[in-house]
Amino acid sequence: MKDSLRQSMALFHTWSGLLLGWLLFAMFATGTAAYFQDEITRWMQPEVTGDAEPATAAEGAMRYLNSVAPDAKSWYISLPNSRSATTQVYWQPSGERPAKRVETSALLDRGGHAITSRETRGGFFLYRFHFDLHYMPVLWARYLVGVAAMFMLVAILSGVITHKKIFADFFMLRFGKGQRSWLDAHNVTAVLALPFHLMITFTGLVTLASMYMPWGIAANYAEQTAFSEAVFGRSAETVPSGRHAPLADLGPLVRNASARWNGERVGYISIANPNDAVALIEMSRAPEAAFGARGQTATFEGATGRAIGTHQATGSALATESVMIGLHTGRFAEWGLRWLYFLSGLGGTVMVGSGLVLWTVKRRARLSDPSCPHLGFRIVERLNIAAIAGLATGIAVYFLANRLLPLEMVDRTEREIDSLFLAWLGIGLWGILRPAGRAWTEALAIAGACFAAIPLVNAMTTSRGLLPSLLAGDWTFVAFDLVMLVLAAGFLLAAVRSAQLRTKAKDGAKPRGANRRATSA
Amino acid sequence: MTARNGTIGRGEIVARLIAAIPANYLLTSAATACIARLLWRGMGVDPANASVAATLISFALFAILALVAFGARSVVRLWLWLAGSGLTLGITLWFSLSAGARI
Amino acid sequence: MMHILPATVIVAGFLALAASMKRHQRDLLGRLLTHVQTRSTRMAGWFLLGIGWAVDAALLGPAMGTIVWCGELSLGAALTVTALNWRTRRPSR
Repeated sequence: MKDSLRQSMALFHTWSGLLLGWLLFAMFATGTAAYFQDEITRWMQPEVTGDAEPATAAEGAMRYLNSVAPDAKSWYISLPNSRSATTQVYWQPSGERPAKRVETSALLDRGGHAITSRETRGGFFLYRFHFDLHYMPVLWARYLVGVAAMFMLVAILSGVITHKKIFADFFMLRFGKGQRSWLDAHNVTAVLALPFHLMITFTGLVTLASMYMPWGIAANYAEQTAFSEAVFGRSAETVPSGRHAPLADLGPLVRNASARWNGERVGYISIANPNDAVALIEMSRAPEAAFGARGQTATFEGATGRAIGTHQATGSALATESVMIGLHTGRFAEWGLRWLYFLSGLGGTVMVGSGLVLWTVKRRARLSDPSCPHLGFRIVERLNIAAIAGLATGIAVYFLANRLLPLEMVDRTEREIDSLFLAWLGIGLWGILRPAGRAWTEALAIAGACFAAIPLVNAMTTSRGLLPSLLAGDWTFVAFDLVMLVLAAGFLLAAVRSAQLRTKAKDGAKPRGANRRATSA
Repeated sequence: MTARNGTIGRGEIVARLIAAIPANYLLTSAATACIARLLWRGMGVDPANASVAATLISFALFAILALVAFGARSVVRLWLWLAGSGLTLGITLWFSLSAGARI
Repeated sequence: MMHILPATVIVAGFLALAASMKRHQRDLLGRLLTHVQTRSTRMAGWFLLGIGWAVDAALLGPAMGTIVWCGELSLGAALTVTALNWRTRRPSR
């Protein structure tokens, strides 16, 4: 009886892990990168240096918005945090026609000038891809991502139930030796970072909770807006009066809000009906100062700058939710903890990737005719190559494109992103056209070569290569290049290993998959 | 790791899949709504916190029910439980909503 | 830098826990421990993990300390397992 439970849980673990595993791999990989999104953006904007002060940045953003969209419905200003130097602004035009994102957003430097050279979405793109994906409606993407996260949660739980023994054998875990290397990679990364995996999956669901499970709110509120008001303390939308009144200077207001929060930074400003007599300015505390993602807000009258009040949602459930979201995004994390987050995320990525490969490795041994596997097996095999080596190559190419595309290119931001997906598609096709075993080796080698090329191309195209950065003590650039080299080494090692295993398999041993990154995990 | 015991038939897999995903979602939704109502109306928690608390619990509930759908020994018993608790929760929710309006 | 002290304590804790398991004793210590020694080693292991938490909590406050401690547990476990990998060749399972 116990055995049958274990068996059904094992089955459940296998299939819930496989079904959306490729999407989960992409989510884990880009989510892990997103812990360093500000550093990635800095690397992708090598012309921007130094730090930015929120009040000055807010004034600059206001100057910019007044020149491009003085009569917009609303402005949103994402101020630089302690790790970044640029300001992101969005606006909602007054017309009815929904505008394209590129037309209603801009990245500004410290002085409020749009950065038009080397336009890029930087690390922010990887962060958004983590839950919005790309080339598809955001709404669908978020539902899809939510389903994947739930699959992940049940895959983790069923994995723990199935493999309870693994915890007793904790110190027996061995890295990549012999034929069980894929299983070892999966076990080691799963067990060592288990608290992280559970936390990140559950809190990930919580970040978009009201989308996935709206019925808790619907049970108490007939209107969603009533709930938002109770939590966020803002009225949904005010109607513009039509009377013009210039917006109060944002700089002093930012300092004012900051002073209310014991000097903590203002992170985000939203302004409804700017330059109208009923304009409303709302400032939110930067998320890096506390665990809770939902910090305090302070509201000001737009025309006069008079403080209307501050708001912070109270209550233990809301606080719990806020901390869960904060734990997921890790914005509060200082350097050491941020690296732990990154390493755990990398562990999760390897766990999902090795789990996917494990599916084929386990089945290959049982195939009646290994030279001609059934269709399902072949699909999984090819999708694995596309998802793992393909995405890795894509991200590397995204970084390369940032350095290699002409600086003043039209729609440069989009071309950078396109290059990621073109490379991904390319590896996917490569995986379909080549024999699977060879395709693994080649695709891993391509990924490794692309990562290795990044520091070289960086040194050739900018003045902030590894050596000058090292001499200047510019640790962001040094760390970025070094991480690229480590990834390159990991993928190249994996390519060599997979080639070795293939030769061995040819010599008559049992066919096996390659061993990727198991040693560097 | 495939099932080798041959006792799990195709029909049973489908029944468990339906229990694990769509039926589970319905049941979890009903339970979440009931918890939100209970916390607010029954225990005096403010409605926003009651709703959020119920929502937070819902993900754990869904995951556990999904595991139960595959772990339960008898599919028939599983479905009887699902239908029974769904009916109870549905009736409770209906009474609760007709007794006190939403905001 | 501040992770070094608690992480070291945690690695020591994990090593003690490993040493309290019979099958690792020959590899780690070259001999089998007595029943009493095994038990005290195990208690020392858990105690050291607890000390790691106390250090983090003292340095960072209980909330942040607990989060950092969880991260360090993973890191410490990874280091311990790596050390055991290096110390002992693959055992027969």
